[in-house]
Amino acid sequence: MKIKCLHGYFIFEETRAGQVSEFMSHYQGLSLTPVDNYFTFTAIANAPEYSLTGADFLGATATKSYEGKPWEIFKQNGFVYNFNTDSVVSKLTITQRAVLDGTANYFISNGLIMPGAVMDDGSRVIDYSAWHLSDKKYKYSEVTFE
Amino acid sequence: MSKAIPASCVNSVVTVSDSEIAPVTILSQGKKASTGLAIMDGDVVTYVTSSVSDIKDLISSLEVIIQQVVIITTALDGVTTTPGSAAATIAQLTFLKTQLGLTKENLK
Repeated sequence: MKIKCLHGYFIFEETRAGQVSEFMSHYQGLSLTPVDNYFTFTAIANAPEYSLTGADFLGATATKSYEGKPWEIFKQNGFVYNFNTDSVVSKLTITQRAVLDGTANYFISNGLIMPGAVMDDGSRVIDYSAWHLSDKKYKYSEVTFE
Repeated sequence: MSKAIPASCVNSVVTVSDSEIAPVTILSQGKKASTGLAIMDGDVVTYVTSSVSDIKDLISSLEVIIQQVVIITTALDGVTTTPGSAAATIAQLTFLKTQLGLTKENLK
């Protein structure tokens, strides 16, 4: 299953039947919901396509009024989806560390990278593309930071 | 793809669901309290109000003015050397006032 993390918003695309349920079997308490032609975490599946400064946005307080796709709203407001707490939070609250192997075109790692995870140099993971291989193994590529 | 959201405005402050929106371009004067739509496109927000209430207020003012003209004309007609000569004018003014009232009630 292909996974895209766009500014902390997740897009899952099945390449064969059963991949979504297989993925969910590894994450107790989390579920994926279909949105348009992809799946995403249920907690962010109904993300409004606009945010208003000071108003609630999926449990977080928006810092900017903006209209656009959910991942654009995440970007504008500095939000990410924290799949450990099943909530939308400011990326600045993410304290997890990310250790990436940048010596090849891709790398395989255990576990899904938390968007907003902090690198050794202080930068944060913002976007990535990954393939869910099996269990909790993922093949990562196109990881970007800021 | 833009999105239109119900909004209100008073003294050039636009709010949506109790949240103040800024910056915003207000297409009307934005002074008197109004309701309308906030049209959001990315970070560009434009407030458009319904002009119906403004037009109703304007017509109401015109009705009052015409009524005053009718009263004054009627009074003048009563003291003229040829009473009744302004009857047609008074009738026209009264008809015009009635038409304004109908227009106000049937605004599109």
